[in-house]
Amino acid sequence: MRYLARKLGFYLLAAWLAITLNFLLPRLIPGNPVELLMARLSQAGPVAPGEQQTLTRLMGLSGGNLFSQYWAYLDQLAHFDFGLSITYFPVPVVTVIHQEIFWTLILVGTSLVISVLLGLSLGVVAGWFRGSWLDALVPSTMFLSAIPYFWLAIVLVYLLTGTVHALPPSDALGGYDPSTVPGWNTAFIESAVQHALLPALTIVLSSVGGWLFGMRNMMVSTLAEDYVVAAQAKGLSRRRVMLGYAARNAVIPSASGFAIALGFVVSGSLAMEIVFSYPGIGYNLLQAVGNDDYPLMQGIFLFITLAVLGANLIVDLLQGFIDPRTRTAGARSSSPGRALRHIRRIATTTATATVPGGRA
Amino acid sequence: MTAVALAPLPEPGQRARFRGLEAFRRSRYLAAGTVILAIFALTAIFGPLFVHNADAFSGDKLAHPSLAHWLGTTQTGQDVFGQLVESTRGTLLIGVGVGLIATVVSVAIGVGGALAGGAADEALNLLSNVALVIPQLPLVIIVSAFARGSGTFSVVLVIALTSWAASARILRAQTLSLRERDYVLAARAGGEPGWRIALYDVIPNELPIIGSQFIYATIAGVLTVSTLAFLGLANPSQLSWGNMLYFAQNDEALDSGAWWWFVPPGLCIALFGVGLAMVNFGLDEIFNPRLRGYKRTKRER
Amino acid sequence: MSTFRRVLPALALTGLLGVSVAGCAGSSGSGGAAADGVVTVTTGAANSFQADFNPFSPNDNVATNGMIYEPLYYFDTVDSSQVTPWLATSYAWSDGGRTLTFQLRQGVKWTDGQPFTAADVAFTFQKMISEPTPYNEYDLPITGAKADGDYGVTLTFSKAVYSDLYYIAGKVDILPEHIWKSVTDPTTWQNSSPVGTGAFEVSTVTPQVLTMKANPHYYEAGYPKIKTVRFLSYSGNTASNAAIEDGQLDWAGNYIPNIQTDYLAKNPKFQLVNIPLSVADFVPNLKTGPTASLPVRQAISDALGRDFISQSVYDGEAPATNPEALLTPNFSSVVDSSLPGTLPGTANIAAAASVLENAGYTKGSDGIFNDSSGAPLKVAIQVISGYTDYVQDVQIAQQQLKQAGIDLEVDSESYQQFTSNQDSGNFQLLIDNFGYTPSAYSYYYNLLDSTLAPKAGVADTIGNYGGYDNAQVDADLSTIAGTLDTTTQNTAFADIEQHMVDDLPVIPLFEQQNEQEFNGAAVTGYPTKADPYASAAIYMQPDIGWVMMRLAPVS
Repeated sequence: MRYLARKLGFYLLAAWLAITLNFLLPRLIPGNPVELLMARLSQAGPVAPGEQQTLTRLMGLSGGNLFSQYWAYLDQLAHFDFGLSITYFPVPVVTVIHQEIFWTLILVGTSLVISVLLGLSLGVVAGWFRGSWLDALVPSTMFLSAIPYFWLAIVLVYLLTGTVHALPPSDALGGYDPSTVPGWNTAFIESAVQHALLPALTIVLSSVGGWLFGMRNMMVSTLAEDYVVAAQAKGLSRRRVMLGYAARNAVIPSASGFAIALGFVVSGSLAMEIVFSYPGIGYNLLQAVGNDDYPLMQGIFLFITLAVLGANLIVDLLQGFIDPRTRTAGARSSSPGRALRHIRRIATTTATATVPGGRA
Repeated sequence: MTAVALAPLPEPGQRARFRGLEAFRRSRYLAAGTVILAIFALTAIFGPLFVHNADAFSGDKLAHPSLAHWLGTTQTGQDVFGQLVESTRGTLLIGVGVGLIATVVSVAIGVGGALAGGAADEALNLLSNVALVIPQLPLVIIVSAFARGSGTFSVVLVIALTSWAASARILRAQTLSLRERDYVLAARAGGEPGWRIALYDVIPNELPIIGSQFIYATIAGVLTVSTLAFLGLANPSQLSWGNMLYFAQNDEALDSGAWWWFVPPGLCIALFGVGLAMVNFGLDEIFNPRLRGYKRTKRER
Repeated sequence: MSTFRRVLPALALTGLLGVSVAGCAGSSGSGGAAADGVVTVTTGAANSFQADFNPFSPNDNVATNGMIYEPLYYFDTVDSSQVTPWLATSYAWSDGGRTLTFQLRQGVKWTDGQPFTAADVAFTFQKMISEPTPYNEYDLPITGAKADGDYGVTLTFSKAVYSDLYYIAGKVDILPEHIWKSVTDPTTWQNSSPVGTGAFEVSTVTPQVLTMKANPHYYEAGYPKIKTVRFLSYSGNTASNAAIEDGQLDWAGNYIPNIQTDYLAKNPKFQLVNIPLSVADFVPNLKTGPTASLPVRQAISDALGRDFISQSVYDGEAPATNPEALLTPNFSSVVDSSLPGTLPGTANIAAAASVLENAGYTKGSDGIFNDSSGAPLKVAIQVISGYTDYVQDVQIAQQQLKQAGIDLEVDSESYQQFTSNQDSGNFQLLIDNFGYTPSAYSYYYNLLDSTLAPKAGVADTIGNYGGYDNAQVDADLSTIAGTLDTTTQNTAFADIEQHMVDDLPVIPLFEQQNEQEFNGAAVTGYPTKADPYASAAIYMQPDIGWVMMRLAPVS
């Protein structure tokens, strides 16, 4: 329970910091979104002077000092009012985002799941059969993770649709076939899956290496642990030892790498949406940046951050569930005076830690 | 990445294990990686001296690779090979810059926080964790948009300041366990000031990890700045691999069949990253005996 | 069961699914869909579609003006002599150009079934008087709008508006009174289900696809000839170009580098229509900075190798322009034939050098000219960083100018920053293009009239960003605006053109390419160079409406 409360508290704090950062960023830089909007409106025709007040109110920038603006900002957020987008004025930011968030979530979610499963499985195998030909996997996945996502995507598209003609070029563009109607019908779902293949494939290829590499190294370390040797000595089948004893314990640290990996996948999917013209919020963010559309930028950034925080919270809770050591870890004190008591406590927790891993 | 975090730290005196060229003999990865890095470094330092006017436009559009143009030309007749060489310097400078700054910051926060202990440690740890979960690329895109026009250094700073968190966490974990070692406890009991402990006892023993974090930060720096340039968010007049890709993509190099313009810059980014990763992997093998290669005995097969 | 074993079938299934789905991919790339009355187009704009059909919104959909709402007359942007009735059937001037009467078409219905009458036209113009923001988009000096019966309307103005006819009759969208009279916030209203008189109605709006369907009750029998128009949005030029080259689009307006090999060579039915609608210029700041001095502007102009830039960046698709920066054939009727037909295509370094030396500049040891106080001649040019062709133009110019001894510095910026600097006159030199109008008067007015120049504290500058101030040219413009007599007008035009050559208020580069791609295997009836009945540009409004209803599927 304490663990749960601590984790929730942490993520709430992180969310608050993200929200505040979001609020401060545009205000730290000279330049006024209302002026930008006025300049944009004036290209369609002359703008009356009174318009500035109306726009200031609409953009939620009504005067007052920083604190009252911050309070107003929090209030707006609570009502899901992110203001009006400049790029798509007068469409509200929420409308722009909610149309496209679905696609990004699908792409990111699927790619992440596939690359995690694939990477972990291959890592387990590579670690177990160390010294065999599978070790050759390591440098190739190293190579793959060093390749920039977008470059790989473009080259893949070129090869698959142009040179090899394995896929029609229309597959590499858009989220679905425009002649189908979005909804729960087979034609649309089929075309959505088809169009998601290439982007997901690229993300998976780029990120599977990290999982494989980390998992392999962890496997190798874990294989030298006493309980694994004991299990082998007991005469358990190789597969049982590999999965039930070694992999199970080796996978745990990967969970903490999840936060970093999720960050990579989100970043990668942004670039991927540009290359494949995938209708997610990635290229909306880029449009917003190109147009200095602060409200839309802030809205998208906040959305992505809160989603990532949420995912990390879930993984952290899962990790606490799987690995009891993490639950008690926070109880360790870190002040210099209690050094000796500290060492003794480590000894006892390490002894108990070897037990949860093995289950015959 | 996680493997290094849990590698056993060398005992004091074991630092001496890394004895010059012997290390290269023991790890093929280290040798190969260093060779690759050396090629890039030499190109970055000396290359531009041999390449003249890589930027020059000419009427020779989209020419195939030939003796006159080793990697062909671009849409506007510029020599691709020359641009590639000149871009090496720009990209490497940024990548190494990001790596250095990010590492310095992560050492300061990770090691410093863990040694300080108490509220300072809690606060810094919280800061690292928060910085870790906030997605990097969207933040970099937005901050670079705001800081636009202030030059390359601000790009370097922005990327570095959003990528130190993972290293800081790893260093903190290592330092926390290192703190309880006898020699550190002795130093603290003896009243040595914190900075001396950090500088003479802790950091030297964490050099392998710090080194590997520096390498990861550099890879990430090069990838992020190339992505930014590809998205058109960097100064297009500056030669870098990412900018080459930006122009190549906008001028539809691949679709026009001009693979020599689009493929080499991306390959360079990848090779550079691989070189760094190999060095990392090799260092890992040397310092973590459990990872060293061995031949499987007949019994295990 | 082991994790690996469990995962393996899933992986295999995904793989098989992928291959099988790819295998039964439809023929969605052949473009033959027009046979069932569907035309697929893209404007190349990299924004997702929103349901914004408010003609006064800065981001209204391209379908709003022309396909949904219609003006009174159609002005052919590429042939200023062609003015065709649209919602009106005739017009007449009186009171020295201060009164304009229109006779309106009968039998027109709004898409909600209500009849179109003079009351709607009067209402539209009346709103300009009562609520100038946002209704009076073109800043017309209108004083009255009255309906005469059901099909006549009289508009009165405070001064002669001969030269504003294009805006009054060709750009103002006629609005339905019964809908718009209850709109309280026209600046922020999205108008997502618009009611218009046009040949098309809105069917569905998703971020990726905007579908328009034919108006079944359109007043002109037999129009529109297609049943459905599908607008597609892409993440950028590269993506939309890929789609165009693959034949997925029937009409598009993208600039395709190497269009011969990448598009035209792929299918003999693919057609390119390139009729420039604007001229690309370097815009110098005429008030402050190094470009305020005429010799510097002349030197820059002399040092440019325009043909090389056009060939290198635009594959030759950016034709040369004349010294007075008038589009031909669009404005041929007012071109002064005594002036050279085109600007020199190659750089004249000697001429540039002598112009600068005569103005007191001396060449420094580094090859750059220094002024009398020893400061090097350095000019900063601003360009929008996302416009890669402009960036390349400017980079080439930088190298060319360096050979002539001028140090050109390139500042690439965001769209907003560039626009804001342009509007406030905060620049030394910038690259932009001007035109997109069938009226030569409007073209020169927006370029040269001194009243438009940037003023401190004002955000809405619409032209003359460099601050050109010449009383004679202002007088010429007033003369043209105040008469219908072509002889008088042409004399004034000739004088303006002479000033363009002598004063170099802008440094013309070339005519801006305006590549429009048509898939001739799927559609016909589009305008071509041989038959320029309209502008083929998909982004021009209301031209898009005029063309779209005349497109026909190839059977």
